[in-house]
Amino acid sequence: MILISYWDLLTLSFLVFLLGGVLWLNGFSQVKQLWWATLRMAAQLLFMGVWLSWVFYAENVLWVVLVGLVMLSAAGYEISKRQQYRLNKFHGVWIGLLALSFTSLMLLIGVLVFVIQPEPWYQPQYLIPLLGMLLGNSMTSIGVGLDTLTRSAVQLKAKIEAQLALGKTAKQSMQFIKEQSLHAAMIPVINMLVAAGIISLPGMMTGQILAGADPAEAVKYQIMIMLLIATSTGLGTLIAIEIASRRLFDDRQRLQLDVLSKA
Amino acid sequence: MKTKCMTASATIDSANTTVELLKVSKLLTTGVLKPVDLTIQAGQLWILSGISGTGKSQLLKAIADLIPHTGQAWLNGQAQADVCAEQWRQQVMYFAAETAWWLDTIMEHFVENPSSQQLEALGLEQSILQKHPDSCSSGEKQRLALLRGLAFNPKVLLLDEITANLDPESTLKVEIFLQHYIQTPLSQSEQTSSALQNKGAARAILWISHDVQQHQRLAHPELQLVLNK
Repeated sequence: MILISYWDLLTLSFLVFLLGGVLWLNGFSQVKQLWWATLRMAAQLLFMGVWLSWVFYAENVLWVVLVGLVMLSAAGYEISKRQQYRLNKFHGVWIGLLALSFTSLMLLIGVLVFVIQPEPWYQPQYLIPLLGMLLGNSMTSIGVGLDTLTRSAVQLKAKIEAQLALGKTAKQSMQFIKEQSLHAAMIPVINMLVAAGIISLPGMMTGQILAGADPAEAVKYQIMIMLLIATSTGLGTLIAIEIASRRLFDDRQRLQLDVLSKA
Repeated sequence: MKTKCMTASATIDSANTTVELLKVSKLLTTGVLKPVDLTIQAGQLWILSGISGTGKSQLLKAIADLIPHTGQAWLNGQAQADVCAEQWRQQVMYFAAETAWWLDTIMEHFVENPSSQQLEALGLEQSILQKHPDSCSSGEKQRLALLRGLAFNPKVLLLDEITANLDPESTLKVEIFLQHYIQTPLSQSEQTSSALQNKGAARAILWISHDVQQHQRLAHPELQLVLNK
């Protein structure tokens, strides 16, 4: 692999600096944000590079667990942050965490133990990148699914209550919204699967190929990760939607929208 | 969502021979200013009126157990809390002022298609069942929502200004239809008691209406309840 130096990066960053100037001359007012975001990106990634090489080197299960937990809670927090209507108390973050751990985490452990079988199974070089990819994708889908669910429940309150009034159960009355939420969450995943290999060259594969891996081998890894992503996003969304829609009703099957607060 | 419905044991017991069909005691919910006591007998049609903001709709929703409330309600002597929610609502049914439809055709909302006599009695065409809810007028939907609910054969109808969007002629049709509905004895399969068989009527209505003429047409002054500030 051909290495690039920090000087190369510094030179390249001059591109974004120039871009900011050009955009500013054309009336773009968020130049500062652009520069700041670029700086943040570089700092975060550099920090992660140092941190990860340290965790890889240490090969201590505790560090791996710690990194995993940080990634998991950040994903759970991001899910709740992206909701227009949030479930009160801890439930917003908690639902996301539960859905993520039941799918991404379980699938990851399963695939490490039974498929890839590194020695030891928690070897950070495999565990952390895979976890990152599963979490990133699941997080987006779960976020979209939950957001659609709660937003629809608020907007379509009359349609839910009309069904309750006819003696339908809470579950039955939420069915049409559940379908919409699953649809909204799964469409991007299906699009990703369709585009892979024709329109987009997936990031993981690209990385491996750049690092000198055989493209045929890189493709196998990519297919595996795609299968995992599809499964974990679908199941994760289903779990999150199920828990959240239960929380919208009380023990007498009454719609209680006051558990939601507008962000 | 915890309550599981035990169909056999939780079915509301229509064998009970109390004259009171629906009894409401000290019912209070947000928007209702004073606790409400009410006893409705089978065959009765009550009118509920009062200026806006006195919680009339809230009261009906609370009786149907659609919103949290304090106080108690009984149907045929059986307490609301002892019956699972969906069964209570099928017997004590709330009809909203603004109807809501969640599927693509009117027909899909019905558990069984309304008979042509029913449609005709309310001045509706058979073909309306194939339409999309958005392409029906609010007055048509109001009458369709009534039939949609009546398919479950509720004992008490809680009507929230359901003729507000109707022309005078259709309003009269709905009134006659509903008066007939509460006077009709329960079908053979529903009759478990000889006492009810003799009495005939086994249903009742509590109707929010602002139309004074409608009050006169439908209910005795003593069956008119006014909610005040």
